[in-house]
Amino acid sequence: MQESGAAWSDMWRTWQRMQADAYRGWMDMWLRAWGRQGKADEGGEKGAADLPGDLYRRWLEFTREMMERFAAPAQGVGPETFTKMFQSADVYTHLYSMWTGMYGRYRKALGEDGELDLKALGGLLEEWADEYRELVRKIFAPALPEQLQWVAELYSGEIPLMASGLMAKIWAPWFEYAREAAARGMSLAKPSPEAAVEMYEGWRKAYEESFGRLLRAPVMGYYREAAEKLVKAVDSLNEFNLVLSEFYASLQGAGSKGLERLGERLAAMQAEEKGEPMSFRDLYRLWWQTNEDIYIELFRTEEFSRLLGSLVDRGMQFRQAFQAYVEEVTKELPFPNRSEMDHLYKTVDRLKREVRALKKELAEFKASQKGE
Amino acid sequence: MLREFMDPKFFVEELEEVNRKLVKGAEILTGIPDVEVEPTPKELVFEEDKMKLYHYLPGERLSCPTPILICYALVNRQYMMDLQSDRSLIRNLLGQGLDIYIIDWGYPDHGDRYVTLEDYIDVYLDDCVEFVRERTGCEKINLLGVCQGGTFTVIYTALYPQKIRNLVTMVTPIDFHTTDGLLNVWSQHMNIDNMVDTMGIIPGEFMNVGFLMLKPFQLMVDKYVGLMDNLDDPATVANFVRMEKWIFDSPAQAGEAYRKFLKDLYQENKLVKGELEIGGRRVDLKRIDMPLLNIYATEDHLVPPASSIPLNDLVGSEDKTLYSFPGGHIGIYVSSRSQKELAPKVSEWLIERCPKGRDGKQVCSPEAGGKGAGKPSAKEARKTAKKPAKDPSS
Repeated sequence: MQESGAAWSDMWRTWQRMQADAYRGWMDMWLRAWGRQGKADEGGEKGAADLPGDLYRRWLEFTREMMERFAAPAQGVGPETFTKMFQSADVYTHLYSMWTGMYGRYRKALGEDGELDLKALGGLLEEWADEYRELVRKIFAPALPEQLQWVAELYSGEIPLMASGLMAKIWAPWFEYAREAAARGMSLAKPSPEAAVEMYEGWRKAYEESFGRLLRAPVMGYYREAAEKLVKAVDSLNEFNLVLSEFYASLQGAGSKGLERLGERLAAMQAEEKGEPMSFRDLYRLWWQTNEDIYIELFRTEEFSRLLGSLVDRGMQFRQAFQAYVEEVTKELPFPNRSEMDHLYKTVDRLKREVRALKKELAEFKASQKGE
Repeated sequence: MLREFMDPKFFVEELEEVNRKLVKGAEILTGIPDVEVEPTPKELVFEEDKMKLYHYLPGERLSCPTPILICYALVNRQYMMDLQSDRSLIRNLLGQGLDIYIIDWGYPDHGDRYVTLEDYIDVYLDDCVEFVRERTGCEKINLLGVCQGGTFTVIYTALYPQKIRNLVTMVTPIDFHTTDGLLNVWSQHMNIDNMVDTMGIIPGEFMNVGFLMLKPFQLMVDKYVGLMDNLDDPATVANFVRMEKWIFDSPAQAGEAYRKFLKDLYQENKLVKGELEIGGRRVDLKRIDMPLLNIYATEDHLVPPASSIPLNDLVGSEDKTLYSFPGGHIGIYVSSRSQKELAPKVSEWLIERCPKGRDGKQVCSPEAGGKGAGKPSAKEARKTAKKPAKDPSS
């Protein structure tokens, strides 16, 4: 009984001490959270984005410590159970911390001017990957049997580093695009065709350097051929849309110019006090003729001619790619596709030529027989 | 004056007028019967694949026994020359006493993607010439080419000069490197191989987009606005619809023929350079030594005068006439001026050059001792015209 009572007495003292420590811990944590302890404390260095994760982690640490001490005498279900339980919960905080860390690094890589420093971003993400490695090791290693500890090493080794590099490559163009788009949006007084083209070009560039890379990656599996053809069609549609936006922009530009010239002509007519529009019909005539002149001027340029050629060519490329995809996915249907028909047409064409030549030879032969 | 324009009363009156016409126009458009084209009687005399050869029933008299074969372009349809009875170059030429055959190229489909320029010139056109020669007994016939069909006839005549008596070209592109025409400019940057390889045949709708872009506001806006002014006139509306039918009745282009025409002529201008080859034979324009009548339209936006005019300097003919028609590419067939001036000009020119036999009578083959002289009357021509169509494969 004495032993038992002494044990309970120890436990009670421990509990009291822990209660006191707990309150002190909570108070410290809240003070740090609200910045009362200043930047000298380790928490002060962290960004605001990390605060909730920090808070939660500290609360977990505190609770785990308390429960471990409280349950110390109970073998089997005591410290071990609580430890594992809190380690699991800790995974969330670690993951949260990891992502906020990555976000913070992206923010750091964005300068004050909004310029994304890709080199700096690479370095920062490597740092993050190191932390990630350590994190994975901490999370997985304790949970794995000794024989499988290498798994944690594997997932905390080269893979996250490579993945972080890939993620950086995929997201970086979009950060750049978003920054440029925002800057352009703020700096432009009014939207212009050129700006629309630039916006689309930026979008396409970001797409090309990010998801475009993923789409162009080799496809595997049962639907490999169809998927590859679809990807190619989508890719060529993007290329077509790029030129189409340029084409529309050039037409829209001519339209704006036409409006300006119409204004000039009206002003000139008014200044002359003669020949200004008498009716809406007169104004309409002046409008379309002015625009016609402007568009013909545009159409005569070498630049437009090249653009038109390029538009048609890209359109054809898309049509080819789409046709290939359609043929791939419909090849099991009970009707011939375009390629099969073309093959047939080619054969018929060859046969027709042969028949024509043979008929000619026969006619000549008959004529020669008559002559004899 | 601008105040007058800004006067609300002015606007209301115009608006009232437009609405009145719209209501009346709606009534006319909903009551208009199907438009008819090609009113002049003709009969099918020969066909080969999709190509058909028609013979117009001759008028009461023949001014010249030498028949004329009209070769239209592959683009759009040949009935532009016989759109309606009061706007028909064909009817006018018949009225002047000419014996007329015309080629209908038909509507190429995907099965025709491998039809070549050689097929059009060495097979279809040559078979038509042969058919007309054989049918009429004329050693040489007159050939009239229109637009791209004109280029075909020029190439053909250079290859087969022995079969052609007189050559008439209308709005015919020869020098493709002129920068006066937008088609000439645009074609320089087209990837023709990719177009043909992808589409097989070039759809008429695709071609039409290009043609409409040549005068975007006039052809896509003002033309229809202009119709509103005359919506209350049934005859004008019917004429408009008839023309609209012709414009958008656009056959596709056989792929391989289109490839060679665009690459060798539009892009490389080989005809003018003397580098064009058809079926392995070089096309030498100097071999065109018969009389030539070259007609161009001063306001032509499709085939600018600068593209047509050089032909007269390139051929070997001594008797050559350059005729300038004040109008556009379409107006040359359908304008009232065309009916009054162009048809008489063409027929007079041909009749003047109609060969005569030893007795001074017109014949079609003086080289063969007046062969064909026995076909001077329209009555006999009508009789010949009733022969059944010949199947070339028989």
